[in-house]
Amino acid sequence: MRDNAPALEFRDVSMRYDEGRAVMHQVNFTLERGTFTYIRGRSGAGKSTLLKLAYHGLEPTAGHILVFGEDLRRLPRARLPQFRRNIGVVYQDFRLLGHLTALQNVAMPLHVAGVKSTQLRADVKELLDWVGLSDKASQLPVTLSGGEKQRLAIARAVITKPKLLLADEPTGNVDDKMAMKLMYLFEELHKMGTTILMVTHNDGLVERFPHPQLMLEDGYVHAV
Amino acid sequence: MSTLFKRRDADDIFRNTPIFLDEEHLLARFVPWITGVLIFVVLLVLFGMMLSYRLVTTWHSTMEYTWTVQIDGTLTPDKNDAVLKMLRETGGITSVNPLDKDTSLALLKPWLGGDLSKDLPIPMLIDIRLDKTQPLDPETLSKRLSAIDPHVTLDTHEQWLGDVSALMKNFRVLMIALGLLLILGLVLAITLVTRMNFALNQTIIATLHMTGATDRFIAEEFERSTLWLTVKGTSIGLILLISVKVSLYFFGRHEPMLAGLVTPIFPFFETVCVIALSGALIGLSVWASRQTALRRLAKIVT
Repeated sequence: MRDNAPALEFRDVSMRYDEGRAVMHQVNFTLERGTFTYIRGRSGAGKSTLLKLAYHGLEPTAGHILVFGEDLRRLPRARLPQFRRNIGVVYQDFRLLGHLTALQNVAMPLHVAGVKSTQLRADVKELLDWVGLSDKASQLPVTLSGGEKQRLAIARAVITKPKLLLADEPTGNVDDKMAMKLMYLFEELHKMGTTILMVTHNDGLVERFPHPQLMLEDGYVHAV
Repeated sequence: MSTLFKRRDADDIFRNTPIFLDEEHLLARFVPWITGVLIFVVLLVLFGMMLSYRLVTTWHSTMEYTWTVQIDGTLTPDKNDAVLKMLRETGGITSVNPLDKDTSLALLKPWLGGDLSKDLPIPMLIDIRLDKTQPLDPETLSKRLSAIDPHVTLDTHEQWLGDVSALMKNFRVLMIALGLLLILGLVLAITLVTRMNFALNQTIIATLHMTGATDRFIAEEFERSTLWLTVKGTSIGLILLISVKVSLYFFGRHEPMLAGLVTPIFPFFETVCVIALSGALIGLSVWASRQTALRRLAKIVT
């Protein structure tokens, strides 16, 4: 991980699922550290694919993806866990662990990093307070509303204080009021120096919280 | 402050929650029974082996200093008296106990039926007990008995004990083979369960990978799940074994041949062996689970 390298670089990245149609054609863009960028585009344009490529959940068909100067193609599998601890991901479908409590779900990234429970407990409590879920710590995700699940997923994504946060439609399953609250959370993270790349369809939020946008159309990316 | 923080004092918030074990899932409910039955049979095999060893040892120690002199039923009473007199005068014999005709008939009853004629020439049996400190040569005694009459014979039970020992030895070899087969079955069952668990938890595994979990961490979580399931299974196996032992105790304590074997219910050495084997089976299951998980994880590219 290089100190002055951009947070994320796509260099001639192409992506095709098996024998299907190409989702991306030689995509090029760079996100500098500390920026907040939206990814926009129609459904099926490949926005989620772009995020998966960024956190190395998928291998591109061609091209290179660099995260903090680290070429993911050249990153040995043994170094992947350490690499991913610098990235927070908010999934569209939350991906909360159903039989674990809210507290355990949020604590998971610290737990996998080997943080001791005494230290972990304080961090998780603080974060649950921050997302307004401290009274739901012992509840299972199934008992939470969509907005609460989303906040929980965000809390889990940021618990390790990631340098890069990738969020896939984080406001997609909540009402406008909750969407605003979540956006304030992201803005706060941004102010703390986190680079944020967020997929969104919500024009109202984009207008209210203006940031640079990348438009994904017909497999090509261009800045708006 | 949440109620959880107040209620839980345990340091590790994941201590009682294996990540890959949903208590409500079918696997979590049935695997302990499957492993429990397998572990029970393995422990039963061990118990059977130890019981057979104790049986032979007990019979050996009982019969080593007990011989039987058999006098043909057609011989005259004075010959019988001569045999008894000679035995009583021989050094190294502590007691000479001729069995009466009714006792001898009772011994023959299982083979010849209860309707035996009183005129049937029943051989006279003399039970002799030997002095442990003064060994007696069976060949010399046999020759002296034959000198009185060739139809007087000495049975040292050596042949019978030899046959029983050989039979028990074969039985133990068979039990070891069966035990190894069952252990293999347990390992295969755990491997299958881990693979099923792995397939069921693909999303969780992917999520854990994305949060920075190493393969080792994930494999250890599978280990933890297996440990949880097999400890439950072993408890079931031990309860079944204890039930068998208690039943044997109640049914066997009035049987003279078994009485010495069923008491005490929990002999120290056997108990230690059963606990050690239970621990080893849990350890083996956990190891099999870890290896399976690591092999599956190595196939994941990203």
